[in-house]
Amino acid sequence: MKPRRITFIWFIWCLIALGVINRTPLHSDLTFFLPQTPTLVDRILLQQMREGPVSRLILIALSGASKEDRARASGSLVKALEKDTLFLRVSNGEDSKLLKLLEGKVYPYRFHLVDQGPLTPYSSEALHGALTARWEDLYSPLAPLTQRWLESDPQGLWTQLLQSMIGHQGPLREGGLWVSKDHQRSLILAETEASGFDIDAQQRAEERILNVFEGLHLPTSLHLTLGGPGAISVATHQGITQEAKRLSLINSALVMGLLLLVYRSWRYLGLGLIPLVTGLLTGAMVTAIGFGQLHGITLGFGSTLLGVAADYPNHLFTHLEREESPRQTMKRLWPTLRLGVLTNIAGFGAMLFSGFTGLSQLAVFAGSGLLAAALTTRFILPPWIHSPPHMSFLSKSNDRSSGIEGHPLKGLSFLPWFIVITLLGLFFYRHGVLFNDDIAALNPVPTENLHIDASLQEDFKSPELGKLLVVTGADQEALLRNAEAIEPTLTELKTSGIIQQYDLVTHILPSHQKQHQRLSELPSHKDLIAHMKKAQEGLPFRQGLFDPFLQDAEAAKARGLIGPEIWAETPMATTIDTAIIHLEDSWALVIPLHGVTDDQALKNGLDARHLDHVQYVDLKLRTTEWMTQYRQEALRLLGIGLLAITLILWGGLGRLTTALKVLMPVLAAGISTALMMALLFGGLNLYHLVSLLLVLGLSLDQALFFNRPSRDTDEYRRTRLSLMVCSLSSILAFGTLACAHVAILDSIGLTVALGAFLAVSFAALMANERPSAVPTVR
Amino acid sequence: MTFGTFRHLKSRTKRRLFALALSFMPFVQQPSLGASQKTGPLTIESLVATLMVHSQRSVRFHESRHIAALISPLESEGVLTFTPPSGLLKEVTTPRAITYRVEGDQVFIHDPRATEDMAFSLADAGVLQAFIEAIRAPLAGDLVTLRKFWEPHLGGSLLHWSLTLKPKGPELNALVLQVTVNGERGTVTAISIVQSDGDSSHLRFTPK
Repeated sequence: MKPRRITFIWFIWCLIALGVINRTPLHSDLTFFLPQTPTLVDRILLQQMREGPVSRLILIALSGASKEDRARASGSLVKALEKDTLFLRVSNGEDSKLLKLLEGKVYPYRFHLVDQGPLTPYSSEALHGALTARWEDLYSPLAPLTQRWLESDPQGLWTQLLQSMIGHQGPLREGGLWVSKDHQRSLILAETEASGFDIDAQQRAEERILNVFEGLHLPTSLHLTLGGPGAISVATHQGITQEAKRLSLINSALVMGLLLLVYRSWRYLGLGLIPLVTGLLTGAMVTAIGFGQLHGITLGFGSTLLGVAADYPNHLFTHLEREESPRQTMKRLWPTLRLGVLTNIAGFGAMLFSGFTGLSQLAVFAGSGLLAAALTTRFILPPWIHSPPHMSFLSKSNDRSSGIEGHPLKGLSFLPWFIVITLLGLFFYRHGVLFNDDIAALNPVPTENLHIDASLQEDFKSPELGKLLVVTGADQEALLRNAEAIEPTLTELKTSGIIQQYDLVTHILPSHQKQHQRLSELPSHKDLIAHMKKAQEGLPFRQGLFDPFLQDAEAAKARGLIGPEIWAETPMATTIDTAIIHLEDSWALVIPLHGVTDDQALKNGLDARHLDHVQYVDLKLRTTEWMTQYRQEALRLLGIGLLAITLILWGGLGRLTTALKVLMPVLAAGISTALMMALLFGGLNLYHLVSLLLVLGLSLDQALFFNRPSRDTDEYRRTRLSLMVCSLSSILAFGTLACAHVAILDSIGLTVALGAFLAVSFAALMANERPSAVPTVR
Repeated sequence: MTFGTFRHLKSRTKRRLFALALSFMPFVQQPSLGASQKTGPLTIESLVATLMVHSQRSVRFHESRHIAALISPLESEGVLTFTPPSGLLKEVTTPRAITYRVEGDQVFIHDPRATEDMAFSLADAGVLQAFIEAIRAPLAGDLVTLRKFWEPHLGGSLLHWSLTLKPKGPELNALVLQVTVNGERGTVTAISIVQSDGDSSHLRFTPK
């Protein structure tokens, strides 16, 4: 095929890739780490983290200026944001409107909603007890709290219901409005329409709040602080993007400087980028087509792994000679390059068969990307090269110092293993931990933001999503009945101090069965009148005072049963939405537990009662388990990958010993880097592991070239230069990232920079000393 | 549920605040032949000055509340204590023990039957502050604060004076018709409060 035609095909290919990528939704949640067939509990946890109301809350704090200014600003901000469709609910604690709403819609259903214990609640004895309690209440200065309901609710059901809904009391109040513990900040809670993981929507909501705040023309000394999962994601996203932009400007400049120094040509600089860019586009496109979606983490980790492809054009450029056409040079290098690509793809290939979507996506992305980059180097680049670069380094290269003639490094080939053994010794001596599966270690949130958020969460007394019970059922009614069935157990656990509090949604949404039962306890109108008359004996209540109660009780019988709709427009609607989860074929109900003091006692307590349909879940433990499973799967597949690599090298190089010779420095560099990172960071997290994959890829490539047959000293010198350029650019590029303040960037940066350095050093130390004594690549 | 429904209830139900205030109203001084006798005509300023000078620690109270819902009034007894400059303590002994305490801006309620004490800020409680200040401000000699919430009218002679407080502002007006403080020289002897809904409260004070 004509080069022109190939270039044209390549061009169309890239355009298609761009189009496909543009139309593919980018995901960014923990599904990446989940097996393809997660358990019900896993799906629920994920749903809670993604959609739960906690994830949708924006915490707003107003500080500075005077108390009055803050209160006024809080009022106007709420008023303005309430109307906004971006927010489901905005509150600063002033919720007299809410109480009015509840009184209108829910008060008539108090007989359906409140549990009155096992005794007959409408007997004259029970009613007499209730009336005596009301009479005593009247002595209290707080009496008017209940006095307004005295006539229609002498049993005190409404107060009981309101109190059970308090759950966790919100923030402190001043003048009816929420304030921080030190009374220096006014607090507002905004619940966004969109999920907390929808970064764009969160950013829009945040901008809206800031705009409204600006538009209120408040005193300039008044400050606004935002917190909550959404705000954190936005800040993190911005932080990482900014940091990555800043650092990539620096490292691009450094790498470009290096390449310019070597090739003295802008053209080569530009050509050098083509394989990498093609690889990225292809990887993203193939993944998008194969999986119907693209995960943010795949994109990030995949691009990191494609870093190997940046070396491909360097191998070609450094070997270009005047006496030979670029295509011939490429043909000469191709077997080695091809072997490098194949081994790399084989390394990732095993992951393709993983049960984890994230791993198979990564394999597809990196594999197809590398293949595309290699093919681009092989077929697209050569026609565009007119004359070899003028590399002054070669003509006056310092042979002695680069160890070409005398090979002064000879005799030091034991050094890599010495380093490995020393590190192993240190690792065991220090009782090092190899893996860190805590999902928090992957948290890319800058510490500064975490601090701000933690203090806000404390002021808001936000419930943490930590430990919960998951109840299952065939349908909503069965679900609610099952949940009601565990309430006695929960009460016992609370009494014995094993848990401090639990939020059971059946308090506001009882099963139909329960509602029927409560209504059936209501006696006939005539009987109730008689019972009330008897109950009032000996008490100073005026005759006829409780007529409204008698009427309401009679009316309640005629009312239908309640469903979630009576809570519409109140925060309880969110509570119900979060607690009851309907996933395709199954129903689940979540009961958050607070202040769990003894996990084992809790588990024993649940086990002892043989409760079906109930599971105890510790979210932190479960996510750590996800990470562990994910990591184990990755390592297992990497093992298989290494085996495949060895076999391919064996086949490619002809002899097992040669294959092993190539592999030795790779393994030594990988192990050393892994041990160093584990020692430095207290265990390897997923970022380190992915970076190590890149290190393996880079060093495999380098080891292959180091062991490649050279025609003469000049060629050998060119190979050395090529490898120096490759590793130096890796070290520069990733070394810059190591200076980042964001955990994800500096973990990847440091691992790859160190790994790249060790890889090239070990490869040099363990390579053949003479150009003549090299193995042949078939 | 992070929205403290119980709290809305409190801020909303103003009558509760009113009732809470009632419990602090009855503050009284020991009978005394005060320095005020030396001064000329009886004015609010001179009365307040007299009350302030003669503020004593403790006094017994008897409270009688007439509520429309009940055929007989609610009677209660106990001890009331003022600690200058801003401490008020009401210890109810009959019909059952319960303690209400105001310190500066904070209100504390100790009920032996409740699992935990209640505490909240006075600034949080709207009109409650008006009632607290109806008693505290005169004793502390703070007429500015008193007039912020009430319009005082003084009648009678120093021997038997009567201070009528009319509520200021719509919120207070909706709750209370008037407060009457009766006294003899530097001593408060009785307080009557008539609510807008007809319920009323009468307190009599005797030396401890």
